[in-house]
Formats: sequence, structure tokens, C-alpha cells
Amino acid sequence: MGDHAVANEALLRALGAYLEPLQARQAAELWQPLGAGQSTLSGLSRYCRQVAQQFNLEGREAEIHLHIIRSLQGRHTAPGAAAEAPTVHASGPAADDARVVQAILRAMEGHVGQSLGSAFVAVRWRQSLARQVGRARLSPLARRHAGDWLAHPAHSTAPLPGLWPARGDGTHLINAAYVALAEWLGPVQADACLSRIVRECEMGRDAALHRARSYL
Amino acid sequence: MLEPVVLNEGLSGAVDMLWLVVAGALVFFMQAGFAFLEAGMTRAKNTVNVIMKNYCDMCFGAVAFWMLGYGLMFGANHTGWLGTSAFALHGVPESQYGHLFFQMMFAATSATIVSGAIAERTRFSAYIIGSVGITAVIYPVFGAWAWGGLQGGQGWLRQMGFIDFAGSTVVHAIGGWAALAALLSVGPRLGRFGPDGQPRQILGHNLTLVAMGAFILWIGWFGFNAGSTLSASVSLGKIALNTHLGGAAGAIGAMGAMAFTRRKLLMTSTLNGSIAGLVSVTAGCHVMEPAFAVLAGLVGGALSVGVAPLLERLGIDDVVGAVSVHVAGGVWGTLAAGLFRSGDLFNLNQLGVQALGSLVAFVWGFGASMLMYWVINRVVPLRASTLHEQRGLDFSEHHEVGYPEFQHDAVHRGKRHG
Repeated sequence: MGDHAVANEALLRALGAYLEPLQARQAAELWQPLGAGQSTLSGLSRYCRQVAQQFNLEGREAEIHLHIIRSLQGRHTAPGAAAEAPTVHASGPAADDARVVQAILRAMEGHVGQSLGSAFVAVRWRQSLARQVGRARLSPLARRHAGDWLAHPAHSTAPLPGLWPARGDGTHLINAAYVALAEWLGPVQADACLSRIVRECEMGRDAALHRARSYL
Repeated sequence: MLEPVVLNEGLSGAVDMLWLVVAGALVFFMQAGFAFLEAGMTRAKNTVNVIMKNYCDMCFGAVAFWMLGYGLMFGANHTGWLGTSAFALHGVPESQYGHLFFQMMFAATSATIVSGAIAERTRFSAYIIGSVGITAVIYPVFGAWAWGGLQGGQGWLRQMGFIDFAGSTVVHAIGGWAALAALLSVGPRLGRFGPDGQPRQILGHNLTLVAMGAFILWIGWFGFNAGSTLSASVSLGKIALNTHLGGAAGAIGAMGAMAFTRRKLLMTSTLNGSIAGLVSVTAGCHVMEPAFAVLAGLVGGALSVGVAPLLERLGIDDVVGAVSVHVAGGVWGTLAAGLFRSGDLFNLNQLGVQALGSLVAFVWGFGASMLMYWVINRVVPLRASTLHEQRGLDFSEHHEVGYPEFQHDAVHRGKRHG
């Protein structure tokens, strides 16, 4: 795949978190690769400003910039790296709970993205997840926290607020994501994906994620 | 010293009873066949649940049928609609218990057809309530119409000349219609159909078990059909032969249908075809010549292959193909008994009676089951929670897993990891 195609795929994935698929494609088409010898990252700031102006995303240029860079990097990330805990978090047991849940949800999204490739639309995945959260057996407060978090365009990096204990709201939120996963990929892949994520969490370097299985 | 005639009568009665009990035991063994076949066709995380359902069908069904079902089905039936005696049979001549024992196995067979259809997403408690409802009421009521009157009177369908020797309709179609009602009530498994409605394959975890289950069912069917003579008569040979030919032709019919539609020859569909063939000769195996048993089996097997994708297209998730095997095979087998009756071939009047019996079975079996599952759903939700479906019903319903050495990574491990 050429540089332009790589960039286009990464842009679609990143912009998919902010825009509907058609708009995301229109925005991606605005990307103009620079001359020979210049990397795809060149001119990204200017591009982000242009997209923000045209698609009513003013004030989020830096966020979009970060998303696109992560998306470009993420394309080369191994599956095992998907189960990483977000870095910006408070400390303490409650925060650890949220980190585990968030890491699993993030890894699920990563697996769906990998499975579907360019057909993956982050906005739709998030909408699907939000729908399942609406049906899940969560406490009203947890439901609100999860809903707000999913509505946040940068939800994969923003910390998940609220309390997410195992065998409580944490387990139910992961189950809601599992249902969405089964809808998107089918139950067989969903089972395999969840098993793999948990195994990766258990074998990873982050000790906080080692108890991921207790959330199933 | 006893007179030779008295001695002969006593011996004959004892041999009849011996055959009835052996045949009943063979039909009981079919429950193991269903358990293996269904367990193999489901995912490993639901193995224990499937086996428990088949096992408990027999346990709860036996008591329910003894208490209520047998009386409704075989008690004195002067109106033609329902039996009114022989409930919780006790204190009767010893010769009567053998019949109850044999029929008890049939009742459980009818009920257990549902279990495979709605496997992997149904609450155990709700399922068992439904199973008791089938063995105690739904199956015996139709049975009273078609077979009733052992202790006086006669069922109204039987009076019309309805032929269903061993239960293509009474056992299999009724069980199949109940399965369809349960399927519509409980809905498909998570993700079985994509957002665009396209079906997704969920493969069973052990096809060896499936094959063993089919072999056991086939063996049990000799007791099922030949035992329905209720006596050790010379007709057993023909019935057993027709049964065997029906099963064999069913597999061939299924393979023929797959080849005709340019599909790969799937083992699961072939085995289901043989079971559909067995169902198809169940109604008329005592009156058909072997050539017609082959024809009945061939068509039954082919039908099972044709009906399964039709159900899929309607968004119905029948895990083991229970409806395509037991309804398609049962309805066709009942019609075939009218069409292929030896010495009275293609009698349209008989065909009309057979068609009426099949229609009545649909109206009663499907209608009553829909009502029953609706009521059950109001009290105990039929559908397992999504969390239980994720974890697998083995762990969530029974706190045991089928293959603990191999399921460390795949399943929730319980409280010790909390």
C-alpha cells in the first residue's frame, strides 16, 4: 500500500470518530500529500485546521491531530498491543477498575477495526456500543457515565469516569460491548476476541490488568 | 399342572411384556442419542446445559406423564377428546404398567425435540417448565385424539381412520411444532444473524459426538417403531426393516439434495437426513412395503435439507435442525402412511384424513406451545441474559464446565478469581 493510501485509511479511521462516514470520506479527500521526500505527517496541522473549519469542529484541531497520528501509528501496531491501559488516570482501586474495563473496551474496538479494515466506522461502533449500554443492566449513574464517555469524541483516550467493579457495573459494561461485538463480528469471533484480550491482559506488563478475567 | 393353553398364554404374555420393556429401554436410550447429537452441535461452553436438559426431560417428564399425561392420553376416552382415568397409575394389574413404562419414553422423546432447537440461549428453569407442559398436557392431548382409548372409548382422529403407527405426528411433529413455538418465543442466539439479516455459521464443537448421537438414535428407533406393536409378533421384522430402510434412504435423500443444489456433502445434514428418514417411516412402517419405506425416507431426508435454509431465511435459529427434521419428516411421513398403505395405495380419502391430522397437530401443537411459552415468559424469562450467553450456560446455569482442562482461557472462572 502506498503512502497516500496509508494516510487515507488512517484519516478515515481517525475522522470516523468525529464525522459520519460520508463526511469523513469528504474530509479525507481534502488531504493533499506534499512533494516527494516529505512524509505524510507534513502539513497535518494545516489540514486539521481546514477540516475543523469545514466540518464545524473548531477548537478540536489538536485532538484531531493527535487522533490522526495515533491512527497512523496504530496501523502498524500488533494485536497484542491493543490491550493497553490508557495512560491518563487517577490512582486507587476504583481507578484500576475503570482502567481494566476501559482497556478491554479499547482492545475490542481495536479488534473490530482490524477485522473490518476500511469498512470499520468508529462512529457506528460507538453508536452500537451506546445502544447496548442503554439496554445493559447498569446502575443509572454508571449508564450515564458510560453514555457520556462514549459520546466524547476522544473516548478511547479520555479516562472512563465512575465506578466499574468486577461482577457489577464493570462486568455488565464489558458484556454490553460483547453483545455489540457479537453483532458486528458474530458470536464465534466475539468469543475468540474476548478470550484473546483477557489472555493479553493477563500476560501483559501492566499488573492492574492481570485481573481482567474477573470482569467476565 | 397347568393346561398347555394356559401355559402358552402366560408365556406369550410374558414375552410380549419382555419385548415392551426392552423396546421401552431402547427408546430411553434415544435420550442419550439426542443428548450427544445436540451437545456436539453446540459450542463447548454449553455442553453441560444441553446434557442436563435432555437428562431432566426424562426425569421431570416421567413423573409428569405418570401423574397426568398418561391419564389424559390413554385413560377412558368416551368423548374422543380426553382420557379421564388412569392418572398416577397405581394398584392396577401388573400387565398395565408395561404400557405406561413404554409410553413414558415416547412422551419424553417428544419434549426433548425442543431442547436442541433452542440450545445455547434458554434459561434452564423456563425450559424445564416447558418440557413438563409438553409431557403432561400438549403431547398427551393430541395423543388422546390419535391414539387414545386404551381403557375405553376412542380418540376422534382415530375414529376417522387416522394412521400414525409409532408417532410421526403424535411424537415428532408435535415436538417439532413445540420447538418452532419455542424458537419464535426465545429468538436467535446473539449475533447469529448479522445486521443485514445474513445468517452466520456457529459451528458445533464436536462432530464425533453428533455422529455417535445419530447412531444411538437409529438403534433406539428399532425400539420406537417395532415396540409400538406392543407385543412380540411376527410383524416386528417388517417394521424393523422398514425403519432401517427409511433411515438409510433419508441419508441418501439428504445427500442427493445437497448434490443437486451443488453443496458440499455435510455430515451434519446427512445425519439429520437419516433422522428425518426415520421420522418419515414412523407413521406407516407397519403398513408399507419396503420399496415405499425407501421412497418415504428419501423424500423425508431431502425435505430436511430443503427446509433448514428456509428457516434461516426467516431468521429462525434452530441449532440442531429440529424443525426441519421432525416437522418436515413428521408431516411428510404422516401423508406417506396414507399414500403408501399396502393394498390400498394412493387412497385420496385416507390422504385427506392424514392431512387433517397433520393440520390439527399444527394448530394444537404450535398454538398451545405458543400460549404456554408466552405464559412461562411472563413468569420466568425464557431467554438467558446476555451475560450468561457470553459466559456460556454451563457455568452460569450449572457452575460446571464440560471440558475444564481446555476451557481455562475461554470461560469465566468463578469467584475464586474475584
